[in-house]
Amino acid sequence: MPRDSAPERVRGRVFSAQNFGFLVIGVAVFGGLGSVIRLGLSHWHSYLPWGILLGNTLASGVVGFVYPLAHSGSVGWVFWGTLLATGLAGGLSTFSSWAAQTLHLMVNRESRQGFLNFVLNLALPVIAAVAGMILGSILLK
Amino acid sequence: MKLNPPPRALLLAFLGGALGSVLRFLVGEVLDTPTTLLVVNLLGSAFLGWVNGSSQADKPRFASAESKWFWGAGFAGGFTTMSGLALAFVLLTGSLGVTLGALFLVAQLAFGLVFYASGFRAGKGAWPSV
Repeated sequence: MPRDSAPERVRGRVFSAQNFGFLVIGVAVFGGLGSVIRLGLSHWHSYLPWGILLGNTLASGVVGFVYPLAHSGSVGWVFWGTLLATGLAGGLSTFSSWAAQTLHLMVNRESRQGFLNFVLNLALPVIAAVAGMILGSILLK
Repeated sequence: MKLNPPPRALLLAFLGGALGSVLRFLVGEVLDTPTTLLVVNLLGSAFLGWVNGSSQADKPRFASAESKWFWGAGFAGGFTTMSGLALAFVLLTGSLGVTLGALFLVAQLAFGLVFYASGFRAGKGAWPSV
């Protein structure tokens, strides 16, 4: 994979006018795919909406993993990193469903579940993002 | 084999998710990352609230399962992101310290609930209730 010492210059090249169309199509396809996976996962919903929590956690791991690679100066990783992080992980994770589920849990006086859903969707994605970043950094060495 | 969700749900979620993801990507090309996250997550939450509230209004809109799959699971889910927020928290904590990082994260989550409820009220004409 070609490398460049200045990540910003690489980004400028990848996000050039002729590549922009490919990026938009790629983000659409990967974002659609992530959304379909999330819809499948969302049916795992018992005491808590576990499926959405799992999707948010997995997606955060992907975003964390991609970050060091996309900032390494690799042209390929800037392109694929955008499709994986902005497309796949962005489609797989959701903020709006989390807000809906947490609010309705709180309104229904299931405040223990509401609180748990609030805290877990805060903590697990962050932990996954850090773990992903560590993995991505190790892979770079 | 009976698929749950059915194939047309997957297709509609794919199309809505693709649309939402591209829109989020384009917002990110114009605005910086923290602002992008605030805009997509709060607007997306208000939008989902509006869709869900409207489906329960006296004259319901978005009441069909199809429109929920496209606009809810697809568009709102694809437009908003938790993974970007988790990464932004880690990066903000690295650059500005954990206090400001946590403030950004917790404030966005809290405001997300407020925006969802407000959108719901706009759609239904009443706040979410039991």
